Amino acid sequence: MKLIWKFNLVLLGIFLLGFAIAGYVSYGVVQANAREEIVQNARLMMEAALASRTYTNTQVKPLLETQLKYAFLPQTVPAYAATEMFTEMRKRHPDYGYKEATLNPTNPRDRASDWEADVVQVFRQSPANKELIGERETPTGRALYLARPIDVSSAACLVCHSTAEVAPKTMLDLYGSANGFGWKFQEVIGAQVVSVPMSVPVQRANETFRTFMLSLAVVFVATFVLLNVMLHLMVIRRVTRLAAIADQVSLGNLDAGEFKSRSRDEIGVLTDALARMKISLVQAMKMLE
Amino acid sequence: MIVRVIKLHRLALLLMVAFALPVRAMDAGVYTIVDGDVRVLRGATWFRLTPGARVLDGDVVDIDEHGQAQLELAEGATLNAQGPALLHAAAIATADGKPIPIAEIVIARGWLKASAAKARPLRMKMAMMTVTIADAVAVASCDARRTELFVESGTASVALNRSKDAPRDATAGEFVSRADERAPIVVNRAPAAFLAAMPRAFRDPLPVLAGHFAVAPEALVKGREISLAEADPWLAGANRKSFVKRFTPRLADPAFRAAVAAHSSAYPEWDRIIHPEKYRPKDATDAK
Repeated sequence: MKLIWKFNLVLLGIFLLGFAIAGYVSYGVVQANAREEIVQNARLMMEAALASRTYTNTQVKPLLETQLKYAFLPQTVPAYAATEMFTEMRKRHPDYGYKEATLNPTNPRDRASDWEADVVQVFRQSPANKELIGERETPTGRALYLARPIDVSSAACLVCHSTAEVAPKTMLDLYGSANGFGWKFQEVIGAQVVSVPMSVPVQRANETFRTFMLSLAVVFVATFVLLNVMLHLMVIRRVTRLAAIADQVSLGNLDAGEFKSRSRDEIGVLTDALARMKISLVQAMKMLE
Repeated sequence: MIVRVIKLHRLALLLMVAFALPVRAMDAGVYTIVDGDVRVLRGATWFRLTPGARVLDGDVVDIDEHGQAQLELAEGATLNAQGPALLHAAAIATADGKPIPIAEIVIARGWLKASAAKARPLRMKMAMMTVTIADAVAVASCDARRTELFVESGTASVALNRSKDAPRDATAGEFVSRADERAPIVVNRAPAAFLAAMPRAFRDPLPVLAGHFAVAPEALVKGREISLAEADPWLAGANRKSFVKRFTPRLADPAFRAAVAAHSSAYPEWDRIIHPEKYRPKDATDAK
């Protein structure tokens, strides 16, 4: 097998191995980055929801205390405020979601679906668990959810959620007495669940990966071609010429050609050595004659 | 001796000056909100009410349909009335201007929201019930035949007018209504119809603005004298005696006098003035 084929085979093998390793590593990195970006988005949404709840509780509700004696204003409920804020956001970003999924809610729209109920049960069974991240398929594609437990951390919650008898009558007028009661202090009653679509960051990650691998492939191919050209020009062609001359000299054709090289690299040294050897051979032949 | 006399004279002079100086009365209250067409009756004359005017004992306030007036009494009671409303500050201050322990306001008609401090209760007399609040807030609606009361916070003492029933306390969240002197209806929340009719502003706390009116405005713009039709609700009310006395000078107005004469049976107190001939002593010759 010719040297250049051996060389190309080895080079190809190395390139393929490197390509595979680089692909494996880079794919993992871009996918991890995409997931981290999604998780950060979800965390940001969660913090926005918490900020909305705090604002409602500390600034809005105190201003409406008197009005609450006349009609229940769901706008004073932190959970309602956070949910409404995201409902407004979803008008332009329908793939994002926020829900205060509750096992026994006052407002029926907050009732936990099956998978949300499972998330709530995880928090109920593991009180130390303060955050849960997972992925699920949705009609619009794969989504990442970030959930945090909702627990009855303040006795003030029980004013509206212990029994219907002590709940504000204006609240009963709006929601009835069948839902949202029986909560207990420090009980986990639901979970804040933020849903963020994975499609865009993952798509972006895949595109980045493809671009990276394509450019790596182009570099590999270019290197391959350049190495072949250089090998041919700097080694194989020169060695072939030396071999041809040496072959002729070995057959007695002392005028086959001169071993000449202008370079001082290894081929040049070999060329000079062959030239000296030819000269010695000619002199030896002359002496024999 | 002469020096002593001079000193006594000086003392007498000082005392005369002191008593001659007018005593500045305490402000019993201030009208802090006046919106729309609102007038106040002082004596028998209407005046256009303006924000900052002082509340005087005996003020009758007439609030137009789209008007609003709020009076804040010294030491804590506030009453906001939305028109059409008619009310009378029956007992606000003593003769020397000091606040009365329990201020009393008679409301002939209208929507009102009132709050009173613990130290200065407020009594509101309406057609069907008299409500007294201290450290409480209440909303009421009344006319000649119906009174509705919602206690927003605290406790209100409710006495039924022309009824032998003892006064009862209505607590926060309770709604009491009475019409045509029937038995009252008490429920533990305000009905939807009441809430729908209630002025929206009453869902918020009453603002306290008296501090903005440290100086009373210039004299109120004087209007016309009260007509008999306008005086009738007060002449037919619980404070008839005082209003008869108050409106007697109006008999000098021929139109007013003629109106009274046309229905003299309703105004027996003025019969003597309108028909003095009925009350002249009979002649000695007639007696014979």
